[in-house]
Amino acid sequence: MDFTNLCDEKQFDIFYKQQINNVFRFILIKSKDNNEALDIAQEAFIKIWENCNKFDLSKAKSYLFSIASNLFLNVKKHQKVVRNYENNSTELYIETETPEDTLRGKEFKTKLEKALNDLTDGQREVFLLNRVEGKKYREIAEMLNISVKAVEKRMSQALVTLRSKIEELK
Amino acid sequence: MKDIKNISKWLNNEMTEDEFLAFQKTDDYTLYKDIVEEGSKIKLASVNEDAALKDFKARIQSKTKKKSKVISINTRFAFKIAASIAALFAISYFILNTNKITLETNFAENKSFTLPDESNVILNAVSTITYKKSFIKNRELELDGEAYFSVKKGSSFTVNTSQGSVQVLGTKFNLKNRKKAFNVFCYEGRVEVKAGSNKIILTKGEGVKLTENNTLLKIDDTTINEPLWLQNESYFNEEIYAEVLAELERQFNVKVNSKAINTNILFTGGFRNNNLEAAIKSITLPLNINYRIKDNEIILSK
Repeated sequence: MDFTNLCDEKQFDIFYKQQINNVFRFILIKSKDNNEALDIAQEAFIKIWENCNKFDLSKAKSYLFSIASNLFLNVKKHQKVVRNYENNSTELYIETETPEDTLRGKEFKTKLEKALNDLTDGQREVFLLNRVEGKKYREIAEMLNISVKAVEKRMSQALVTLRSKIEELK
Repeated sequence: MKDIKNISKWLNNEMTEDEFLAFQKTDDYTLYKDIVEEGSKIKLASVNEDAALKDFKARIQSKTKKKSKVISINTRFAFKIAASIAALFAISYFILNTNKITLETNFAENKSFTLPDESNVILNAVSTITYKKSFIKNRELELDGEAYFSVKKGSSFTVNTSQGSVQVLGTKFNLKNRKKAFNVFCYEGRVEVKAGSNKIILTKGEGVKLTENNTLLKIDDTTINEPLWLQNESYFNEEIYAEVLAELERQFNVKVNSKAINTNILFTGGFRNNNLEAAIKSITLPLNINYRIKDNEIILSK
């Protein structure tokens, strides 16, 4: 095992650039606040940097996600916010208008984003990590520290709920 | 949803061309195609990597060594109260009850028991159940620790603890009543939880935990069918770190010295109950905590 890698600034920078958006968006899905997500992502990298000699590069990635999600938990705890499940997350996604966006397509997208708010935090997280971030179940399981079976279950529940909510919005 | 395996393959891009052609003819595909396709068009914000790296270096520079020490007085007070209530409970137990039966487990031990009414209970490590000899007439018992109940249908079945009570008819549920945790999770049927002035009814896949400010916070998870500790895994969902360490002590019969760290933070994650070193690693490394094992004591430091 090579423990020296991450203490080399050049190598750390490469690792940082590869992972920053992964961690940032991982937390953004949970927090829906750009500034907070960046703060937490940076703080997680600081922890990795400060302990660079303890992490093997191959493990650093999963610890990075684990550190970040625990930081997120404690920020939430500090704010004494009991998470409100009815949020208006729609505005936080940066919409990209493409010429192919037909009226029907747009309508569907709005409905989908509305329906996303009806998922549990766990389901929404899995859905967005798979669809938006393109992560495979195996990677999601690793990031969330759950089994692949649990990811599969959350994803299928997400799909079933989304389908019926979109149906309701017709 | 008919074929979860195929849906998984589809969403993981693991289908061959032929498989995909066949899959396109299924109902699953027609039903979920739009959601899956539109879902991947959602855009999340991203950051500019170079600018973020610059910001990161600036943060490291300005980071002072000052350590902020957070002690929540309220929390400590609440735990003191909980502890004194538990003490009272224990005293009254010795004075008032001579007619009771006790079931208990030791460190690093799980045991399954059948109650007089044929309900089943599995006790996690260092847990105690007491009930009166007349249990069959009045299904009521006391729990200190953690247990998974599979209750035979019948009259109401009540579990009392120092922090709250649970009442059910016939169902499966897990109840954890430890110094710094009171959690209930329902795996089947309906469960009524009472803690202080709060009352809540849980159905399958719903759970609840008592927060520091004495309110009940709901936790839903439909993905698990039984508590993970039945498979020798200890898992924590946003639990106080002190409780995580206490569970480690119970599962491995070790002593944890945590004087040098803040144990009042929340932790999500877990460990397997079969390898001590791996277990310590999985709960210390993510929090950047160092550990040292000396005899039977694990000494934690920042």
